[in-house]
Amino acid sequence: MNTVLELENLKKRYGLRWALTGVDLTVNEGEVLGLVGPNGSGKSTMLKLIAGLAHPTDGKVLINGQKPGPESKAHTAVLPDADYVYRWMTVRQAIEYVSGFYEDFDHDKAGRLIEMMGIEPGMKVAHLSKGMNERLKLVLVMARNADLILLDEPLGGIDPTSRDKIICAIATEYRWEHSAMIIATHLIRDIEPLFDKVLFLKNGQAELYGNADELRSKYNGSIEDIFKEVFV
Amino acid sequence: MNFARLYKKEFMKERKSFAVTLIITLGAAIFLYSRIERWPTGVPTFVSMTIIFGFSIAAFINCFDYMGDEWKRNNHYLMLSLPVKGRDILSAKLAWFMTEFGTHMLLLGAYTTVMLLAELKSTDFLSAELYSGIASSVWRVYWLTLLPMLYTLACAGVLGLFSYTAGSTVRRFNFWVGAVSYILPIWLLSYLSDKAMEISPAWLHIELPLSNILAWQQMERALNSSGAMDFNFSYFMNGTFVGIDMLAVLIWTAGMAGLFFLASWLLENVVEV
Repeated sequence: MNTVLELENLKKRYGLRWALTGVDLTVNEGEVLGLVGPNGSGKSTMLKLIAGLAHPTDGKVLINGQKPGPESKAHTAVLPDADYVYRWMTVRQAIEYVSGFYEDFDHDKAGRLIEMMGIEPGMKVAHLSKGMNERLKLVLVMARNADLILLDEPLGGIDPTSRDKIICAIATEYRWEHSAMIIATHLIRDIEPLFDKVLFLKNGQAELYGNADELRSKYNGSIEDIFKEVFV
Repeated sequence: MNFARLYKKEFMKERKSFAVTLIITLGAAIFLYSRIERWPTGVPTFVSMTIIFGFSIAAFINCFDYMGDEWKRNNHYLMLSLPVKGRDILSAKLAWFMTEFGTHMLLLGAYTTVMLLAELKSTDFLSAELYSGIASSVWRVYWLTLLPMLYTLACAGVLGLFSYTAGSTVRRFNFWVGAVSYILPIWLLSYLSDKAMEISPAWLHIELPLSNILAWQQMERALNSSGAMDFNFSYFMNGTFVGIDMLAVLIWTAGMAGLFFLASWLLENVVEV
C-alpha cells in the first residue's frame, strides 16, 4: 500500500501556547485513522496543518510526498468544523462551484449523495438547518475520489437517527476504496467501527497510537473505553 | 481557468447588488437630466458629480471588504482549501472590484459630461462654435482622465487586498497591522516617486500643453469672432503644461505589483484559518 500521508515531528505553536508538540504518523492508501482527544487537544489544528489551512511551526507534512500547497490540495478533500459554504449560493451552485476546481469530483456520486441526504438542490445554503449544512459539507467531500479525506467532527450537527446511514455512506457506499481518511471526532462510539488506526491526542501530544483492533484487544475494550481510560 | 471560476463566483455573489446599484444610479442620472432648465443651472451636474465622489469614497472603503467578507462568514476555509494559487484568488477579487467600481465611475463620468454639456447648451448665450469648442474640451478631459482614474482604482484595490491579507496574518491587533499595511506603502511610494521626479531625465516627462487639452484655440476663435471681447490667452495656455513623470508611474506600478505578489505569497504561506 502506498503511503498517502506522512507527519514527521509535527509541531504547532499559537503565540506562547503549543497546540501540537511533535506528532509522527503515516496513513496509507485505503486506511481510516481515528483522531480522538478532548477539546483543545490539537485535533483540528492537526487537520488544518495537513489541509494546508495552517502552517507548521516545525516538522513536516507530506501528502503523496508533497508539502501542502495547491498541488496537494487538488488531492485532499477537507471538511472543517465551520460552516464554510457561501450562504448566498444554492446547493446546486455550491456543488457546481466546488466541483469546478477538482478533477476527481464525481457528479453522479454527488447526485446520489444529495438524494440520500435529503437535500433540496434548489435551496439556498443560508436556509439550510445546521444538520442539513453538515450534510451538504459531507456531500462536497464524499463526492470526490480524493487521495486523502479529512473530516473534522463529521457527525457534529447530525441527528442520531441519521448517523448510521451517513456513517455507512462515509465508510463504504460512497467512499473511493483508495482514499485514506482521517476522522477527528468526539462521537467515538458511533464511528469507531470505521477506524483502522487510532491516534489519541492529549495536550498536543500523541498519547497513544496504533492499530484499532490491536488496541481493542490489548486494552480489552472499545476505542471509547480506551479513550475514557486514557483521558479521565 | 481558476481565475475565471473565482471571478464568476465574485460576479454571482455581487450581481444583484451590482444591478440594483446600477439601476438606481441610472435612474438618478435620468432624473437629474430631466431637471435641466428646471433647477438652477449647474445644480444637476453638481449633484451628478457628488454621486461620482460618493462612489470614489465607497471604492476606498469597500476594497477591504473584498477579502474581509470571506473571513466574516467563515468562507476562508473553503477559499484556502481550493487548489489555487494566492494570485488567482487576489486577481479575481481585484478584477471584480475594477468591474464593479470601474463601470460605475466610467458611466457616471460620461453621463456627467453629457449633462454638463446639455446644461451649457440650454443657456442661450453660447454660440454654436463656442459650444463645440467647450464640448471638445470637456470630452478630451474625460478621455484623458479615464486611464489615471482606472489606475488609481486598481491601486486602491491592490492596497485594500494587501492590507486585509497582511492583517489576517496575525490573530491580535489585525486592524492595526492592516492599517499600517495600507498607509505605509502609500507613504513609501509617494516618498520614492517624489525623489524619482527630482532626478528623472526630461525624456521621461510626458507633457501636453493645456491649450491642446482644452481645445483652447477653437474656443478663443469663437469668443473673438463674436466680437464681444478680445481674448488672447494663448500665450498663457501654451506656456502651461500638464504631464506625468513616467519614472514615478513606474515606481508606483512596481510597488503595486510587489504588494500584489507579497499578498499572494502571504495568502499561500502565512495566512491561517
